[in-house]
Amino acid sequence: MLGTTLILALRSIRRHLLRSFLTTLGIIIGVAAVVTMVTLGKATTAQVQKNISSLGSNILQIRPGQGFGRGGGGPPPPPLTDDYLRPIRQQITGVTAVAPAVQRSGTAIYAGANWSTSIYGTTNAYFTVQAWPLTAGRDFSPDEEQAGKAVCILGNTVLKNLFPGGDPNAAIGQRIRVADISCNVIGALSMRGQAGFGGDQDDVVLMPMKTVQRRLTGDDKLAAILVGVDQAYDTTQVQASLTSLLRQLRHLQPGQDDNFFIFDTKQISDTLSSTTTLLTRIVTAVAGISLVVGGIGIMNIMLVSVTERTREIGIRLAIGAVASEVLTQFLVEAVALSMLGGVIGLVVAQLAIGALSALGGLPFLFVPEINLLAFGISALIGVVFGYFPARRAAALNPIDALRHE
Amino acid sequence: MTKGWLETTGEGHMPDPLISLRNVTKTYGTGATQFQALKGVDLDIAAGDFVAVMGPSGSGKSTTMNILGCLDVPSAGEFLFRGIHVEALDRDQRALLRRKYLGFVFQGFNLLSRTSALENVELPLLYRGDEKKARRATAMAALEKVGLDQWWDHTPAELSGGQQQRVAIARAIVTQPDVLLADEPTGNLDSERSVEIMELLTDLNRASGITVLMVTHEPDMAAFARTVVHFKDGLVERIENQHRQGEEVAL
Repeated sequence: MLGTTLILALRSIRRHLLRSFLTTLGIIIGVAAVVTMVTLGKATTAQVQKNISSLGSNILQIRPGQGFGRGGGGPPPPPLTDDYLRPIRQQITGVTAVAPAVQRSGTAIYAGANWSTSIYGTTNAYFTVQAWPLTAGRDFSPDEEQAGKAVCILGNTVLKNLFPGGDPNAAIGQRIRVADISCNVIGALSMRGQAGFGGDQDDVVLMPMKTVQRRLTGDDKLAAILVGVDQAYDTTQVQASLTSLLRQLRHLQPGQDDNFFIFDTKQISDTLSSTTTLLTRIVTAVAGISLVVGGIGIMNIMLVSVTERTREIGIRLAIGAVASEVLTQFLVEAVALSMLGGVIGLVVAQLAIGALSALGGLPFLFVPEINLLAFGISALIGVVFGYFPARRAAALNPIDALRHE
Repeated sequence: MTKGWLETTGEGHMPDPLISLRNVTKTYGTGATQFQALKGVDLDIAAGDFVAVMGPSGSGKSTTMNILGCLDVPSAGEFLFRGIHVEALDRDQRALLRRKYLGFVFQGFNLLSRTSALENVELPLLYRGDEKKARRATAMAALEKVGLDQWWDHTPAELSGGQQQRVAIARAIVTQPDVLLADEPTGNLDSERSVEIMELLTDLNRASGITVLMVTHEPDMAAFARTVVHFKDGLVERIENQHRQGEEVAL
């Protein structure tokens, strides 16, 4: 009996290609939309989290002033200087390294190629704090740091733009001009990629702090102090002890506001994570709606086709089909179409994910749960709405079904 | 599902009468809208007869045909077909009875659309569970009987009304049923086509011994039948036996 109904179901699908296609289309759209959106949402979250972790999640950044854009009037706060580095390193527990940062922008020039970039003056501690290894060459020697010699280490973007091919070994030993300083390339940084905020972390030239201070900024101010925190320590606790140390160093009385601020990259990454989690939830909700819409589409086609097919059901019953045979045929049809639609939908989804991930620079993800879930729900809708109206029709007296217009 | 009750009737054994209705009533609706379509019908039909059922609309002829076709059940009374009490059967048992012993021809042809003549005729065989080869051959033979074997691969949309009705007749007789029920089979056809269909039914009745029950309101068509049953107000008004056209010579 199953063989017969299988033949009948496949014949019916073949004879009503447009109707079958429309039913399948509803499922294809439902499955493809849900799988694509949820997967891309997850890929985005994963990518953002990866970027955040590449930012270095255990760094406290000290800057003068009272935070971004705040503290308008009054005298400018006293600057940060390298006098703070030693007490921080020695008095705060849980600190791995302390790096100063002086920042300028300038143009790097080599053999006719020029590239506008950021110049950071710092010390070797910077590599430790940022957990950022060199791919070639060496870091600053103590002599270069002390004397403020004209040596530089290139970020990957700068390297690629000055030296065609981006071979670090070709660059080492060459003299380039950076903001009118002629300096000797001693090393190249490994590639880091986009920061969580969209900036290119590799677009940088590192020089000894003293070099930048003496020859570019002309003072001994620091733009920031970067403090690396040991993984085993809680950054909020370290931040608290840093705050009290800095208040003491800057002679602040109790009751006076801080004239510096510390931000914790971990806090930022937490905020970003919760934002992307929210994003994923929204995307999932949108996907759920599209599944419902797709489901209603399937439902409509199925209901219309059953109304249209009530006469056919009447004919089959009159000829001597048992109601269960007619029902089985409809069920097989619904299952076959739903499965077909589901499979095509999954394939379409993977293609769409591949294309969109490549476009958005996201990693290609395959999330088995969402594929299964979308397929299951669509197939269920297809089967339920193919089956139940047919059951109603098969329960009719054959004569009433035949007279159905 | 047990089919035992079907087998007990035995092949080739034709009880006389083949069909008998005893005090059959049929009531539709309940309460104020209640309507009694049949008010106690008694009718015997012998195997091999060609019966035309006539009467004005609302006389109960269609209701009777639906009951005789095992499509509907009486509200009360007895309906014996081949000695089986049909009124006691459930839906599925009646479906199996239709499958085995009955063939239907409708006014509106009721072929499956987009389906070739051959596949339409094959349908009852499919439900019967015939093998593909046997199915094809049997269906083809039935199409040949109605003179449409050349048209086997045409869909209903590609056939004329008369041809469609002949495909429907081929579908009805393909299982070699005991009874062919025809509900105004010529209602949608012009007179020339109607005569062709009636001649085909007459031939089948004479050659295969198939019992034909036909509802019609056209006396010209009823003239082909051997027995004419007149319905009026839910009761059998009168039954007349007539010599069929062209049968005088044979008798």
